[in-house]
Amino acid sequence: MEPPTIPYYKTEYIETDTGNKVSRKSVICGSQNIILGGKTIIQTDCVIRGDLRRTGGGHAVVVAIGRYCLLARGSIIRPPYKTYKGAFSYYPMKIGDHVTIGEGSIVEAATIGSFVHIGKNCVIGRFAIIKDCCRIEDNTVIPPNTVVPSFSIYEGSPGVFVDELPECVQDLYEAKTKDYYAKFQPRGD
Amino acid sequence: MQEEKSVKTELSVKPHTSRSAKTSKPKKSIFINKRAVVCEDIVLEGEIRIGEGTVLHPQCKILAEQGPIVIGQNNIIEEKVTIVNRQQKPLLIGDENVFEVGSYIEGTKIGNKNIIEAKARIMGTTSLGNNCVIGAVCSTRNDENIPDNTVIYGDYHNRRTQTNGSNASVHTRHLDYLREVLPKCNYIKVSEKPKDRGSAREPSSGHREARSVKKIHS
Repeated sequence: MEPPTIPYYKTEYIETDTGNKVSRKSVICGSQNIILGGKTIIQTDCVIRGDLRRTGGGHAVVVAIGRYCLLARGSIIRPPYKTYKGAFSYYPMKIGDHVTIGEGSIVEAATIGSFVHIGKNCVIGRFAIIKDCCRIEDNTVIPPNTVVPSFSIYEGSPGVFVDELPECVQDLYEAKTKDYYAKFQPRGD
Repeated sequence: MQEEKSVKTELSVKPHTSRSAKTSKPKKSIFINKRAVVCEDIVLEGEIRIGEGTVLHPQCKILAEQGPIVIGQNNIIEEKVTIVNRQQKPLLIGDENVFEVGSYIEGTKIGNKNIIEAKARIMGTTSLGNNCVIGAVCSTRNDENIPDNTVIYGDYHNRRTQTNGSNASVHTRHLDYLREVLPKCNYIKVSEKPKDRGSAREPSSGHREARSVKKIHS
């Protein structure tokens, strides 16, 4: 039996015009470099490092997050870095729609597709690419530069392919994230 | 340690006393070298020395519960790193180490040029040599001496010895980048800053911004 709502204290969260719910207890560095697609929930103690931007002038998007994403408690989003042609730089990170990132996970991926579920306490290495419709189980370590193909389940340290997902996961994850957003409501009292 | 260059941190010299509530706990003595870049949003407790050129990202914790913690030169300490000293003896950390996000450090000694990856744990009274890599989510045993060039990796915390040296040029470039970029978006402990970086922190330069959403909306 699922609880009807996931309550939160209204004073803790800020709701933006596009329906993003961002905890005041999260740490958002360089907020002008971060794009939230809408209806994304950022929970307590999350860290998003938008300040680690690419060297060179001009306005740069560092972290782009799509719609209906969930960053659970204590997850950390930081862009990946490398030296390319002798120049050190951080590079932008893109996260698609309907992505769930579990509690305490650390994400330094280059790209995360849509309809991805990342479990609790995972570590996603630098410049990993996670394609659409994937599931990363709890406590998985995805090494740097890994490409996780669509419809796969990864588990372990280092994360390896363990199983396939059915084609319906797109609908399942879409329904799940929309359901979570709908249930994530302020406390009644 | 170049003590003559160190500046003693006092609450009275910090302009942002209201925001540094976490760091305002009673402290014995915290010495931060002038050329270290230390974000304000961190927890420092007990007797701590931070060496030249070391970079501390926001949200890290350094807790010298019993003995002191001495951090050498040119280390990078990322978010949610916890460095604790529960022994009476000092915890000595060498030069050019990288402590990645969410790692947990106890131990008695950390050498030079080590990489402690995300969520790795160094436990108890362990001492670490030089040029080691503690892989993501790996941990050491409670009391051991880890020799130079050891790599701990994988599900079962396997060990091997690496032969290739660490890539020092990446580390220095990373440090240069962080020293330039971190002050633009984070509040840096002010009194420890050298004059040549002062201009980047001026509010009039337009780079300075609120550190968290809380600051923007409230």
